[in-house]
Amino acid sequence: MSKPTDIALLLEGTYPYVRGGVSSWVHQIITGLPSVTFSLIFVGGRRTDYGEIRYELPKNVVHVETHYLEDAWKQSKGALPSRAGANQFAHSEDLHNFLKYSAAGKCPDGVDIAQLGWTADKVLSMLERPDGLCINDYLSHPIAWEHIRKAHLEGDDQASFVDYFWSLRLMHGPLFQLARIANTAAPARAFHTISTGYAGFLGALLQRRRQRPLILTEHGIYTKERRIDLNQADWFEQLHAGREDASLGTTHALRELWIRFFESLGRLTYRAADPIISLYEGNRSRQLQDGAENVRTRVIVNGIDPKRFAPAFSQRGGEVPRVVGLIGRVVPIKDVKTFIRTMRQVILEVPDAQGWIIGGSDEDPAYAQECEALARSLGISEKLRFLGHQNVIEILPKLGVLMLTSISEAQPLAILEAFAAGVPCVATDVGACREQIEGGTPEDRALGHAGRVVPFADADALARAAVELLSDSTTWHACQTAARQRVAKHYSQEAMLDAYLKVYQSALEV
Amino acid sequence: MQEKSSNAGDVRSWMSALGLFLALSAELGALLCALHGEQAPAVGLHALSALGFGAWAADGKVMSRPGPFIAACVMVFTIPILGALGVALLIVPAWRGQRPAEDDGVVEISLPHAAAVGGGNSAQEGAAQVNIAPAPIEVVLRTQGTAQKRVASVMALRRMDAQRAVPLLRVALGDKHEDVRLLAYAILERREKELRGRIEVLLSDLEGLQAGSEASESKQRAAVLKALAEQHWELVHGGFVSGDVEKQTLLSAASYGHDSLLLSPDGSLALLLARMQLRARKPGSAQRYLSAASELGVASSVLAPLYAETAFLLRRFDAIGPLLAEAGNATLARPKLDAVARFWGAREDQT
Repeated sequence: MSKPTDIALLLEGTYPYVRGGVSSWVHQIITGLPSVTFSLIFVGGRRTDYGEIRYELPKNVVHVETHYLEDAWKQSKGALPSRAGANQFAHSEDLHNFLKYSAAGKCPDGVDIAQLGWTADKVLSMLERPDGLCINDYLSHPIAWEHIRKAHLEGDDQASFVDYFWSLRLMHGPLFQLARIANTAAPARAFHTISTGYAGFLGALLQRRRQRPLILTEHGIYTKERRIDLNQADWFEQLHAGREDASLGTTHALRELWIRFFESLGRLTYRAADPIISLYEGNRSRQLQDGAENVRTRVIVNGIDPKRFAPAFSQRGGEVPRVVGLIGRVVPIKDVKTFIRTMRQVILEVPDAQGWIIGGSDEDPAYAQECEALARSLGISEKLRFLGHQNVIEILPKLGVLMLTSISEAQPLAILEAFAAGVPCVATDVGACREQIEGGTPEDRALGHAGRVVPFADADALARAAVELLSDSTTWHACQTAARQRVAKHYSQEAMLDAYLKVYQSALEV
Repeated sequence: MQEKSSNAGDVRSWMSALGLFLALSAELGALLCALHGEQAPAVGLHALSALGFGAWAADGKVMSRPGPFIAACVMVFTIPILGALGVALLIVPAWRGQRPAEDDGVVEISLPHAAAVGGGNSAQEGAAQVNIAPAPIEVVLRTQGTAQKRVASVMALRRMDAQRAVPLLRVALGDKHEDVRLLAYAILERREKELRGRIEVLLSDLEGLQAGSEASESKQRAAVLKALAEQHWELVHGGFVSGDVEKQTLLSAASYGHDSLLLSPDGSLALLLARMQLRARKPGSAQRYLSAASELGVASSVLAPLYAETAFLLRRFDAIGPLLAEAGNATLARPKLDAVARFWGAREDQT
């Protein structure tokens, strides 16, 4: 491919192979900006986790490339033989020190953090290049071994060295692979990553090497979500069983090592990206806390096209359907189990009520099975339906209440879509849900509540809120009115697309 | 705190006794006045009598629901001719009111805070240490020490037994810092997932056994059913479930346990079933399982605290002290039970 595309979207574990809120948003941006050409660079974990492309790609997508991190250890064509000298390893040590001191917010006397940062940028631009470090240096060079040994003694000696050593190898392998991807990635005039993490690191590499702007839009905060995964991961416990001194409350050294690793990827992405976009003020604060520079950050809220949902609204009958729907993937972060427990209580109060789970179960089949088992054990299998993916325009008119039980969210599109279709929402108090349901600005709040916000993991509170809306027609209709007014006034797709067009134009002018 | 509430109880008892004395005397006076044709003093004394009965009935010990009784006193007052007879007749239901219904609600007060329990009894030092352990974590979580400290505190709960850890994890779920909330959630979720995973395996074992041969299946079925009862009980006892889900889980636990007991008599299971019944506030059923456990060889010192709990639910408060005394030091050394025994022992001494 000779002619560079306008924007290369860097996508980790999402569009176009996975359906969900972030993928819908990416699709919305591409289709909404037909004058911009896009290439898609997808980075996944294992190829078995992803099937076919799930979206019909718009015409302005002119290139797609797919990479899997499980290939990190395959000696690809791009891998160089080990030939680094002490100088390259010294630079690598500077990069690690830069990350360590940046995270701590202080550095020892006499150390110039700006100089370390400059060296860190240089390391990124030289990774897997003839004059930089390559995977074979990392795997077999005596200085690499010495660095690992020293780092273990200096900061992570609570972990066994064997565990520590292999954890570091697991972490670093994909980084060298991403550097090889950056060597061969299709040309683009600007890069836009939709997360930090591996895609963000690739973005940082590309920005340093190609000297082209990197835009970052974070929906959820990647580092936070990895923390949740690591805390919930069974494999971690089994692998490192017995290594934790829980009685003293000390954190698990290796778990923390992984969390630090993802935080470091985030820090490197924030360093390379401008602008750094979030969906609401809460996440912008979090980005600042995690190392983003204030002047680079900004908020662009999600938006939807009300015309698209007009048929969904017009299909609604006069009665409030006794159906509580959860629209989302069946994965732990959506806390589907709490939804199931909630439905048990709702059905007791409103015997003709039903619970519908609308979203794919293929991303985490084990979790989906646990959810089905829970529904069986609570005796509500007949009234709880797992519907898989559905067309939202067709399903929304059949819902009385949309319920989101997530433990972490950014600014869920599902809520905005439900609002546009005239469905009040009950959501947990995470991300921007409160802002969406109760209003953000005083003017917005004056529109009234478009549903209820409750603490997360509280089935009793969720059930009370759902029962209230299903049983009280006056309240339900007041919420519906507020919902429709709010989405029309504060969450327009037009404003969102306009903001992104300006961001792209500004990047393309560089 | 306990002392204060005990003083308040004494005052109520005195007022109740005084009320009864006043009621009977005034009613007798009213009757004599009426017989002598002095209607005005008769009505006045009758009114005084009704008030006295009201004061007497207001004591919770006299009757579990004083409201209707007071209303009855007022009604009797409005019918002077039948007043004496009516008020006298009300004494019978009042005394009957002292008998609790099996599912009658009991107002619970929480035990002294764990940190305060450990202070006194050096003979129970081991138990005291156990009780003290969660306090610092709770203090850190509740007083909102630094986010880092709260994260460390929540991490420490990963290895603590569910019964103590889960309430603290629920406190952490309401933390202002998202990382603390998410960590607490992750730990709760994982622990519940382990339990539910075991339940799923057992249910599939049970299904397999139903298809098996008749001769071998009885004992195996009993064992699987017992394990199912235990795992369901863990969900309840550990605090993983609440509200209606708790009731449902408890029902399942009791049902599996009961089926197992029918297939294979087992003292420990009978004891567990008794605990389930107590949790469900069914002291009558609990007593039956305790008797079964006793017949199956469970030591009376082990059964005594549960009998005491049954007596509490049945409002046989005077029986609690002696029952706990039967439990023996080893049983009473269990966390919190020593404080309970001291309380009821002291009450016994006072009466």
